[in-house]
Amino acid sequence: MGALTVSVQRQAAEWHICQQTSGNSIDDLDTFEINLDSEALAAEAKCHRHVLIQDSQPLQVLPALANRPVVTRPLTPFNLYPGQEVVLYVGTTVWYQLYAYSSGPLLLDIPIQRPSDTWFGQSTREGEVCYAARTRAILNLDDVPYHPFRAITPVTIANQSEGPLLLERLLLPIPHLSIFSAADGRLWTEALSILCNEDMRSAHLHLGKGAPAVAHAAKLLASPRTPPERGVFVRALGAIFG
Amino acid sequence: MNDFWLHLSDWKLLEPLFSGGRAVLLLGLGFLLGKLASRGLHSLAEKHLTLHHLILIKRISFYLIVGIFSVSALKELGFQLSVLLGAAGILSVAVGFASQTSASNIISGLFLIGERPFSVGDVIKVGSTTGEVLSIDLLSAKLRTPDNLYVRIPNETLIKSEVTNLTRFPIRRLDLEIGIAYKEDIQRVSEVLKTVANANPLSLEEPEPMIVFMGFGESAINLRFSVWATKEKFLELKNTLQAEIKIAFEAANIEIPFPHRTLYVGSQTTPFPIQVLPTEQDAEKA
Repeated sequence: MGALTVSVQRQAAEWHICQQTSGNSIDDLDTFEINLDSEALAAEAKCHRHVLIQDSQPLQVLPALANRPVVTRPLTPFNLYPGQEVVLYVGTTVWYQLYAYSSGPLLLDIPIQRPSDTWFGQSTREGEVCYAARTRAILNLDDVPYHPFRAITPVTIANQSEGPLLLERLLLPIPHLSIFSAADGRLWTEALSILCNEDMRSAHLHLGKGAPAVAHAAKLLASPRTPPERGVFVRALGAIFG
Repeated sequence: MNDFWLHLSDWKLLEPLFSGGRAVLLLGLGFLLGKLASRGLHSLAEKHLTLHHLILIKRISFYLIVGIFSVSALKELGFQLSVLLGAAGILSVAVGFASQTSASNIISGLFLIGERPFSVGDVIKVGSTTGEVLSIDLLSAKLRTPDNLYVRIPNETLIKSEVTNLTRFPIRRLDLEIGIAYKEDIQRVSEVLKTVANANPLSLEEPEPMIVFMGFGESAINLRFSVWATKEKFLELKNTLQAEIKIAFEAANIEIPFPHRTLYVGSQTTPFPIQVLPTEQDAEKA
């Protein structure tokens, strides 16, 4: 899958799992290949053995979303004027999860492409460590490119305040979202909508239910890593837009 | 009748023995209860308090209970508490003079607990010693250095000297001093450095990596390259990033210079006379 190669070998009473990341060329990030009878990975591959007595139940491979929130930054910051509403399509890297069998022990949980770490907070003293995602902040659905290992989150931002809203960065609560698979092979998450309140201090963050409408009856692939307690959060504006 | 009085005097003889037994019993009971109470409090408060406070509560509860039982044991032995306290007052003056250092350490320890510049589990640097704090006790703090040595630092030293807490904040900045040759284009070097930082997932995207021009050095242009990382990944970034910079510089033909010495004799003087001497092999051939 892209730059990541995973080899899984069944040996007597154990699973032998190796992973290796090759050169980070952007071009081959979308390729994938499955070999049933491949050669062992090179010596520098990271290997792990899982001792597990198991009958003929098959392994289960599932995609998952990032295990930390993701900070997405448009390549060029833009202004959202009062009364305007916009839908951004933000793609985030998918993790590769390998279960010994359906709802069995988790053997492997790694990102297909390791996103860069970043810091999100008011100062270097307070905040949280997140993953960074650069986005072109595409506004038109047809322009969204197809990447097999990225999940798209539609984010609606409405500015109800009296001043313009400068969009430089946006914190997405990715661990609270699920993955859906559409008929065309694209991966989607629930839609998010952010309502910037009148006082320019707080915002309502609303998590959509089920697959987004644009995904056309996509089916659920994976549940969120940490289920959200509520569907609506009220957060300080700085806690969403940095 | 005589026998009875004899028995009675026996009892009187035995009484100090009984009270001694009771005192020992009280001491034992105090020790046991102290242990039980400190353990109970530890498990009760485990979820709500930091490790530092847990250790503190454990110690205070233990010594308090043992102290109370010791006092009652002394009373049982016939000591008068008021006399004892008075004696302790006089004694403490004498002991205070004799053990100034210990007293100062104890007071410093109390200030340390109040001020909390670090707590158990933090990594601190005191003077030339860096290590993880294992405990903060009455007289000293104990550190475990990265090479697994046990270091005891008196509380007084901690109060007096500069203490750096390396793990107080979640992110840290790594400063690399890099020298490049005078012929290099600084703009291009900055781009190469930023590409290296962007490609390394451990270097934080925000706060952004920063390049500061430090000055014209003796044999190189000195730059400071500052990259942020989480405190857990700091060492890993330090290792990987420097190796990656060297590889990137080699690929981009950017020279990291050694100290240069240029000998200039000026135009007014005649050039250095250079004479090529034959080697031993040349001499043999001749």
